[in-house]
Amino acid sequence: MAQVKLEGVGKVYPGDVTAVTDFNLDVADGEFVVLVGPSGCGKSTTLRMIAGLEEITTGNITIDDRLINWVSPKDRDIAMVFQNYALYPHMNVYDNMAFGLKLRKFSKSEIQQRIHETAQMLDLQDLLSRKPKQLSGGQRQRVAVGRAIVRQPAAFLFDEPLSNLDAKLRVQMRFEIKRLHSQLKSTMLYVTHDQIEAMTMGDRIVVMNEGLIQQVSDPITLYDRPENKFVASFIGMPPMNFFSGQIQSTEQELNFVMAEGVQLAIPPSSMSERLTHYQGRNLTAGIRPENLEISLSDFGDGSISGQVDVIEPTGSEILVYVTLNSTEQTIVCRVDSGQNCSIGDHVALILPLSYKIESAKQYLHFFDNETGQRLN
Amino acid sequence: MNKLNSSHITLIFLVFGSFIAYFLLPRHRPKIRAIQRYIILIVIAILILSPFFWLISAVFKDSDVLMQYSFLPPLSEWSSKTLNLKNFYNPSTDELDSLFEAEKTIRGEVHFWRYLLNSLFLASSSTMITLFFSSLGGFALAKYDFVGKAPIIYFMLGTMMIPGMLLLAPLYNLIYKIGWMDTYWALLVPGASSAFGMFLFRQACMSVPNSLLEAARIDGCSEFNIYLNIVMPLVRPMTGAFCLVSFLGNWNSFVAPNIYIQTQEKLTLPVILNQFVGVYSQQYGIFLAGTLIAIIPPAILFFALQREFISGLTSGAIKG
Repeated sequence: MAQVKLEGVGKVYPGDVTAVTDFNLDVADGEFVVLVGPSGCGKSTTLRMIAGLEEITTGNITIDDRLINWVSPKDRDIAMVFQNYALYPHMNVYDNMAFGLKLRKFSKSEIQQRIHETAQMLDLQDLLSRKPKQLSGGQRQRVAVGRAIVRQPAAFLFDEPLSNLDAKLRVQMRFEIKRLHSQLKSTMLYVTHDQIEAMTMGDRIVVMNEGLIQQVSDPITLYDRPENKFVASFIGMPPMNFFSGQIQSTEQELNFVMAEGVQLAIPPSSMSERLTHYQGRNLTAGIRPENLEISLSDFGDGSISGQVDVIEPTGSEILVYVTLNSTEQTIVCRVDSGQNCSIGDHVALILPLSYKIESAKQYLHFFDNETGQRLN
Repeated sequence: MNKLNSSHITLIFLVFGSFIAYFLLPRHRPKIRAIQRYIILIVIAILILSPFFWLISAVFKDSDVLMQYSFLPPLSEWSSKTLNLKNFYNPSTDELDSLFEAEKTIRGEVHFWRYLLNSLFLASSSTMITLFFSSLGGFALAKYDFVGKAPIIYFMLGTMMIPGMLLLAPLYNLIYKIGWMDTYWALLVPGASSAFGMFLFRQACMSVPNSLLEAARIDGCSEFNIYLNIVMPLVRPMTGAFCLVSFLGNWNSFVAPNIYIQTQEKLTLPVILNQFVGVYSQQYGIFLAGTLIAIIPPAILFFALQREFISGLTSGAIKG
């Protein structure tokens, strides 16, 4: 178990290609931190810098207050699980797991004991004599995890370990890694581009884009209070809907006036002092798909009208894609499977009645048009 | 000889006839096509094996009946002249007229086995040395980035275009000046690293996933350990093929030992075999007996390394 600290870490590749800029993160002992972001955002590079597989250009990395900038990977006391398993194909499962221990001159009995304990934990007992090519994808991934566990390292690094598995196996392995974390109570850094994986597994999530940290927080905060438009659009499936418009004030309240001409009263729960300074300025409002309701009849004030384009039933709920009449923008709503609508229907999109209640959670998220920063 | 020519012509007709038939006949009859395929393969096999069979049948004949029969004589003409071991061992005469008879030199007697051992030592040690340096070089060129890597690869490939014979004179001069004449250093050192071998191993190492190397680094492997314990086992098919090619090249090497080695007991098999067929004496029987024995080690090596050619060793290493 260890505390991993990154201070001002940056990576610039030859040719002046910047992969990571000013990365600051403090991972507490035993914490499960997930790095998430789109392809090429620098999350894997960051993990590889912690592992020592990439040299850092700027900043410092410490593990338990020991500066490891120039320490070779083998001396960092970390273990890494790779996306493509990286099992040694000429060795059987036992030898794959024993390889690192043999190199560290562990006694035969110690190696045997650790491997059998780990094999039991991961249900690999019957596979120890098999070669990697004789294993299924899930089994190979378990062996890769097992190879990391037997070393009992200070920290575990996972580089998109589940992305090669099918959907069902991914859910199962997700559960197993999470259970493993609660058993081992080790520090784990996990890289993924899958936000569901990030949300379900991480104690804290680091959202990255273009080499920069966008937000670091727990999954619920990340979802409910995204710090900028990128995080708001990246976290959530389907993503948040965005509407451009202006803040206008009436005598009693502030209103968000959309380009469509629709006027939404901003409830106290979505208000902030910063927002009041944006009167008369263009900004973007975001509404999560589940915070929009569909009505076939209520075309009154505060409703946005459009035509149903696509319907995606997912079982417990339905995703309804509506093309707005005014801007031809496509908006997605998540509604109950009992919702009665079909393709081609003219519908009104309305916010739930509870959105105006002061204690209700924020249904409206406002972002600066230029910086993308959250305003409420 | 006329008989031999006609049989060869018949075989050539058979091969070409089968090929033409193979392409002209209808393709929807798999059984017929399988039969055609087998006929072609059998004919080609006969063509390839016939000189070998001729060699075996000639080795056991006396020199004076060597050219009398194409292969084996008819059963009615079999005698001690057409089937004996005199080319290998002939205790009845004092002169050197069998392969296993010791040759008298100024420094004493030299046995045939000595030349065989010389060849075995040189071919195997040279193969091992070349394998080590070529694979190490190929690994470095495939898996490390360093300044001047591309020019080195181009230069290396460029050297492969220069005919070996062109380098013989400068190399001779160099070896003479170093003082390696009549030593095995002259045969082992110049061939220690092979551009061809390095290129082969570079290509083979490139197929080894980088993540395996990175996993090994994290597991605690040194760079040499990665080469030895991870990369080399994964390029085994290439190693097998390279060993075979390199061993055959060294085993059959004639020019280099002929010009650098002068002491009789240091000579190698190809040079000695050549001495049996000279201007003043042609001992074809002994020459063929020596050739037959010279074939055995490479043949054993070939069968031993056969399984190394099996590809797909890396399957299962990574998701794919």
